[in-house]
Amino acid sequence: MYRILLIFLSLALSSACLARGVEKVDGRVDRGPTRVGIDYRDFEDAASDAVQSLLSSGAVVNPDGGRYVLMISRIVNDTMQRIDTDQLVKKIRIELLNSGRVVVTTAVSGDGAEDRANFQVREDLRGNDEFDQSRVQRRGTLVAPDISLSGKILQRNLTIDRRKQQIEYYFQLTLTDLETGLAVWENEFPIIKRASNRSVGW
Amino acid sequence: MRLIDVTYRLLAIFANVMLAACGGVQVKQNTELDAVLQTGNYSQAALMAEERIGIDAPSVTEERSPVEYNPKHVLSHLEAAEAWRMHGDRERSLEHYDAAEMALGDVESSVGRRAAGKVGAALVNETLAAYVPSPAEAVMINYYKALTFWSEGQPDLARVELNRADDRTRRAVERYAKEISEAQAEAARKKSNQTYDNPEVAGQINSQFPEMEQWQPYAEFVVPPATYLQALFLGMSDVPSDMEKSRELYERLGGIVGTHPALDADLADVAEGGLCPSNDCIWILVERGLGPELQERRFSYPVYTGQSVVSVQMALPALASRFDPMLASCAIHHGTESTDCVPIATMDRVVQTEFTKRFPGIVTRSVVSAVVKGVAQDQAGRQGGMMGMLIATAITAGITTADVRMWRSLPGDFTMARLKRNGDPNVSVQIAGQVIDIPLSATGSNLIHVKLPIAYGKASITTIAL
Repeated sequence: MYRILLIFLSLALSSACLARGVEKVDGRVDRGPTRVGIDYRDFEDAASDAVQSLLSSGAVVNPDGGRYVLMISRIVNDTMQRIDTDQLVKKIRIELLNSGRVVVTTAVSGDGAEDRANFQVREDLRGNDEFDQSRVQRRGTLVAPDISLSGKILQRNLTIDRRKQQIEYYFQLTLTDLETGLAVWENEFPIIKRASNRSVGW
Repeated sequence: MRLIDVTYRLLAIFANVMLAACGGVQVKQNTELDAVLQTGNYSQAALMAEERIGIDAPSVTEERSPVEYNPKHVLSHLEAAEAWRMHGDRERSLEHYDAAEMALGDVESSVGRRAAGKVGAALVNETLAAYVPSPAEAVMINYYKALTFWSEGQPDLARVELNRADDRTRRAVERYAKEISEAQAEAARKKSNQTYDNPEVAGQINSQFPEMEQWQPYAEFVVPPATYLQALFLGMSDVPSDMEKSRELYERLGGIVGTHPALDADLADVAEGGLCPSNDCIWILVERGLGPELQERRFSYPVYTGQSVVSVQMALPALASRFDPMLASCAIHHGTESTDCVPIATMDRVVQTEFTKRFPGIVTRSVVSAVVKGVAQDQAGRQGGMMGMLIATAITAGITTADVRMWRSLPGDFTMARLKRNGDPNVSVQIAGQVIDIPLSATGSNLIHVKLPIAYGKASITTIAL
């Protein structure tokens, strides 16, 4: 009995140790300290604002009914930080997809096919006796995109005075109608941070 | 012999032995590294630098321990990074560059604490403070990282590095101003007017550095090769805002470099809206020789203690060029076309610019230190007689050394040439008696980066298909 109690006590202590210093964060209500660099909340804010602006502009309402096919073009990272621009794009895609007005193609993107499988199944399986050819994708079934989303994330570091600096991030996005080549929606979402001059922006 | 005398003597001997040992180790390490770099065995140089960091690195082929950054080893990280890059192990090079940059980031984020520590250290010895890479070195970190990423087909990451280099250039001016004002504040706290602003101090110090009058520092802090690389990178983009920034950078460079065939041709192109629109240009960036080194210069400095004038040993860093004149002979050949390697910058001038801006801060810190030591010497003389004075003088002389730490594998100068493709599949760089043949990509424009640290040495070559 004494030995079992000891084991339980050890387990309780070790689990307490494991839990120490680790806190699960709810991103929806996270009010924790922000950092000078871009963090996940900046991506969420920019993506959320972009989708709201896009949907309310009417640019993704297809007058012929149905949904537009969107391709993701290049989002240039013009900051001083190694960030994955997909983090921004993914959030926008999810919300646009959920809006029911847009579908996103993975067969075409600014950097080639996002999902190589679109072409792999055609190149490798077509004419291959090992596969039931009636189920292999036929020629001419891929859907061309109607609209394209491109953009840039900019960073500008400014010195306010000897102690403070201002770091400005601009999330610039453009939606292009691929039939006409015209930009049908554009917006810029600034995120401005002020911090000590001692903080480094990356 | 009185106990105090024995103590003084022991302290003097201990201080001299310790500092001589530290300085000796540094000099020995530099000599060893230079010797290996001269053989062109860059992997050996990299392994040597890694050993100093404490990384278990038996050989190039055996499995090596991962790179973990430590601010205490920034210089060794830099030497290892550049040696690996020249050897061709870009991944390992980037790990070291990242490590050096992280350490630099730590240091930069605590400039206030670092500066206070630096003044404190200067009271004893400048080399006791953690090494802070100079702004020029910091820019060169991002320059080499950008070159590496670009050559690895990762232009997005190259852009990030070039943006960092640009921001570091901007922040350099602030850092110099801060270093000087902090040194002055420390002088004020010590109730000393012995700053570089004081004409008497400046006169005495400047008389020890007559060569500085011959220097030709740039009007503003700039590392021209980094600016050129960014201008070229953005000029190759088809985005109007990039092209505009490229034009600004080329114009800024033009104001610094003056007339230059490649630069002028590039600027004319971007002003027309596109760099090399025919997409058949070859840019050849050649880095020749080794950059300057810092050497210690010692001299006596008179300190008025309030009661008498005592002579205190002062040690300050002085710049010495290492450029090998053999490397001045350089030409590029492509088919029937030939052009000279025309410099866009020398590392001597970049470092002179930086040194000129940092010198007031270095002098002020050293003079504050000299005053403290002078007062100590004077008091030792009053309390311990001639013997006390002599021993105190020996101690202060022994613990006075200049901070001569520096990234040693930086190049001596940077030359740039631009040619048009004419069917020849190669470009040849003829330098210091050797001919280096470099194959071009099948089509399109190319940027070729060549680094040759010493005449008859082994060149490191990177070709980027644009």
